[in-house]
Amino acid sequence: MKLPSLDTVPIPSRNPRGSRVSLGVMENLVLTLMDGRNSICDIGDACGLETEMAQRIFKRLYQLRVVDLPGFHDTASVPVATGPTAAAAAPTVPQATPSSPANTNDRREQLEETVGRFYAKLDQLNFYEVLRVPVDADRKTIRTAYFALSKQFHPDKAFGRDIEKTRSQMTRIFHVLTRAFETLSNAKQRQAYDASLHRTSTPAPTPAVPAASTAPAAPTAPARAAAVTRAQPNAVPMTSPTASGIVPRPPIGRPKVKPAPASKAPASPVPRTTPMPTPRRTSASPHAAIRNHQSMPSPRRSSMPPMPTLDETEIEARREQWKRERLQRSLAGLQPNARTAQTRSIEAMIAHARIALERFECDEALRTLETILAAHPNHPEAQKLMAHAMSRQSKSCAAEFIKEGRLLQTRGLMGEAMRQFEKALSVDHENPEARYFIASLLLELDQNLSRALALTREIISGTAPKAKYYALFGDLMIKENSLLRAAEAYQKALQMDPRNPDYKKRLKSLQRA
Amino acid sequence: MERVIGIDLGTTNSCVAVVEGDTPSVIPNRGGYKTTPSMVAVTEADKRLVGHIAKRQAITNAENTVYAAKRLIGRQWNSPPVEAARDTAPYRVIEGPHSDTRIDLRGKLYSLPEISAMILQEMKIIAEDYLGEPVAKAVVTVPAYFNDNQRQATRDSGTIAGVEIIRIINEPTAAALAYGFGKKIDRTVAVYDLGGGTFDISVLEISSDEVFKVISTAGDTFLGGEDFDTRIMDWLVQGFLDEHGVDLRQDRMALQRLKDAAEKAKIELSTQLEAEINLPFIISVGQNEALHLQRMLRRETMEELCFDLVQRTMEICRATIQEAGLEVSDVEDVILVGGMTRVPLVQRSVAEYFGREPCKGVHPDEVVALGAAIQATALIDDRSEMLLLDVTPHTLGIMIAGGLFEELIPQNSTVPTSRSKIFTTVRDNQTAVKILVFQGENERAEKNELLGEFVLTGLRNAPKEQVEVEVSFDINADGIVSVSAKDLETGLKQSITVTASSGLTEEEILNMANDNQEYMLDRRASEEFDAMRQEAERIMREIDRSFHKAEQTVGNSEFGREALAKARDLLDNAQQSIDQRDAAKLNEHLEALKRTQKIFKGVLARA
Repeated sequence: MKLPSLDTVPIPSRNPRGSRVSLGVMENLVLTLMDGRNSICDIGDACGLETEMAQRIFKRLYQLRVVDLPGFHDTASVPVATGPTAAAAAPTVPQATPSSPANTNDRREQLEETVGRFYAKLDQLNFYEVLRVPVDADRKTIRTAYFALSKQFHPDKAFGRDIEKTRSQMTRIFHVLTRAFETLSNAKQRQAYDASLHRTSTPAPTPAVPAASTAPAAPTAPARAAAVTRAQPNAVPMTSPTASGIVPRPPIGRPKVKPAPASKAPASPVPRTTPMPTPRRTSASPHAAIRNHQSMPSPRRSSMPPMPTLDETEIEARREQWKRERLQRSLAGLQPNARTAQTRSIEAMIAHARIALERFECDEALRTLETILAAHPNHPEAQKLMAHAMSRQSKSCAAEFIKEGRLLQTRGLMGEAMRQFEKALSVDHENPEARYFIASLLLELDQNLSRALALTREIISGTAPKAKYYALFGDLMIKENSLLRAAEAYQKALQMDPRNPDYKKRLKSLQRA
Repeated sequence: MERVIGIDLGTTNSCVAVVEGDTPSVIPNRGGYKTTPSMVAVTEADKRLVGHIAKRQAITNAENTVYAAKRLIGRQWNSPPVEAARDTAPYRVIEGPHSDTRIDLRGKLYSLPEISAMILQEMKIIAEDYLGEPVAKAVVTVPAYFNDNQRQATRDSGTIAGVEIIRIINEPTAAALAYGFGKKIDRTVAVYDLGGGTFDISVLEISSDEVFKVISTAGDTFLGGEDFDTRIMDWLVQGFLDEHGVDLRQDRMALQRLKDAAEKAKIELSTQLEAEINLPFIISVGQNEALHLQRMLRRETMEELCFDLVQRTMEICRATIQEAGLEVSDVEDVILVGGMTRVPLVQRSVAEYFGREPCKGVHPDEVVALGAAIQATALIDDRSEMLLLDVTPHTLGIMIAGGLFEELIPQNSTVPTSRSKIFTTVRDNQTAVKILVFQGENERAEKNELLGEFVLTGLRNAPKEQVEVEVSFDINADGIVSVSAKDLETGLKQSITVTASSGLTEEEILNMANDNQEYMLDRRASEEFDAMRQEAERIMREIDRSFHKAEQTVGNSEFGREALAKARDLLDNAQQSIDQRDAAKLNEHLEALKRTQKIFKGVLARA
């Protein structure tokens, strides 16, 4: 608490309270000694008061606006309640200059707090929420919002102050703001972004990013059920094909069925052709519940035949055929263009689809095949190619999503990254990479470790587990404090990839502990 | 709040401004001029001259006077602009130890940042003299199209000069700041900045809540008023060659005079329709004969000579507007910046292209410094509402297999920004990747500007395309580029903050800064000494004059003679300390001299 200095000379207040103030004995006494020349020290001496006591008394009188203390600035505005007049008159805070230390410190703390709060939420917000605009906002609104937020969160607003942490947070926030503004200002990018938002299902905080929401402590059953039912209609794989022709489907009838280790779930005996995720998922984990629900079979899937397995010679033969056909077309001056599909014969379209597939243009192929199948739903060749295309599509899609997700992760946009990984997983259920990245992201965010653990267990017991899966398992085991298991896991990882210094390091640190 | 200034470090002229109260104003130098020539010279007495004095003696001391240092700063030795300078400049341009450029003035090699530092320091002194208090921080402007090496070099010159450059901003942006300062307008503006050595065009959005956002920017860092002068000079030389058969280029002094005359003529032609160029005794032939140059230059002729230069600028304007995704009609205001925009040809072309009269409300020479001062205050002052969102003018990327350039941060991205991409190895068992950071728009990496390089080692042995390395670029709000590469498997990371690859090392900069400080201290000391000396000499003369009379008055007494002898000794000592340039002793003597003077006065008064 700041007390007036001893050589301040108190004088009667120039701006006194209108009404009477009831003062104590000491206060009245010192007031009688106040003549505009005695300092606080003098008055204290005359009264026989200790100096601190005198200071306190005068400070109180100052706050009551009975005296003026020239040269004294009270930093805190203390609302003083005395008698009936308390409510009417709070003591006037002396005009602190804008650059006085008290004000700058307050402002600085305020800034740190605001920035910190926004930064914490950043990962969970989509672009519209980050910019605080409605989803149908026009460009002008978005621009105004971006400018207003930039004025708050641009790192220059904390220029020169020694708050490195806040400045780096502000820089990150600004990166996200700019990215949001650029995406939403460009018509095409905005469309694509909207589409992706739709597909990942939900208004944020999304259950599709289950970890990002509050607690790994599972919410109450009814709430969970509610969440599930909310998730269900928007559940990932269910949407009809979008305009771009991407048909994200779980692959039908995967030949590989992973054997379930220490099986947790009362697994329903799923036939190969259903898209039900493998029975290894723990139903104990709350998210398995969602998973199972999400992957309910849809009417479409039943019409899909099992995926053909093409062996080498066949592939070669086909490739040759495609090459020949392509040569023919180029000689004939024809452009393989799906837009003229209607005017061409079925054979030509099939050939075109094959060519597109060979070129890895899955969209193109799928479009053509859809048109064929719309007209002739039972065309065997078309169906075969369709299956082929879709599996490739899902694979490449998944890879794309994973790549995107990793980029976002390294850039720190955890929410977006998680969305991408989930998309990848939904598109390609068996993808171990997608599982791995989801699990590692969950570990990094330290959320929903049980799900992470479940995922890791799956990929480890799958085909061709990689060293990094074991390493991740090891990390999770450390989190759960079962050091022995962690050590085992690292051993395994090291076995598979003996040259990796990271695993050696972790093993060593474990062995020391 | 501490004092900050804004400095426009131009190719031909520099300007300094400060915000006082709420108004930005340009600070005039001691001679009363608002701009100072960016010229540095070293005289025969090894004295350093900066500014107007340097310009005045440029003709006679052509070989040791540096001008247009900004055209060479931050450039590699083997780049076209440096080669051009080598051929045409009267001062000697030499290759430096890091394949950078140095200038030889009277046997001593100076680097370009050092030369710029001298000019910067001069501007700082001008500000300090005017404000009456020391100034430590400044915002300095550079052309928008300067690449990172050039910006780094400008930063280095700040370090050498002892000026803390808190931010480097782009000249057209600064001009827009000064234009929109204090007005609540919502406008899309284009800034056309044609200065002495560089050209920039920027398209900005100014919003009424004081946000200045750059949409796109482009330019040419080697196109400016100097080129217009060169065209006129070439025309004169050619004419003289045709007439007299003598090539004036051989004589450095003649060349300097020609350059001066060309510049004057160009300025005159902005208001007159023709200008006379009169250079008597331009060159001597044979024993006693001299030739004269006298010619009339008409405005049409000059426009013919320089037409393609202006066309080049309009091409760049076209590309920039397109890049911004706008139509020409979307630009609501055109701001002309730089002395060259006074030329009628330029004004006409701009008006024609943009379809509207350019805004004449800004002073083309001063507006950049004003904008820099505004930004300086905005950064330092907590309560400032203004925000500047600038962009990076060149694409940033790395070299990938095949010598191709892979872009990471595209041109015209708002800074601060951060992007990353994942790359992979090209050979089996490749355990290291070399990251070469380039800046530019060319497809082939080596045609772009190399900013820096580093190597990330420790990748695991794997078949090619199995290892993934993530490269991230980050440009922070100060415009500093940092690059990091991370092995995604192991998490091993290597990063650099990009500092100029061809330029001065840290040590060299520190040494130069120290040298400069010493030089400044020496200079101040000698100035003080000169002041003392003058005063001492004045008093000594007075005492001398009154000696004779004093002798008459008090010479009889013993006491008087002693006093006189003492006075004489004092005079001798003082003279000695002056000759020896001993400041401390002279100070002491000065006190004694003053006392003696009083005594003498008293004595004479009584007499």
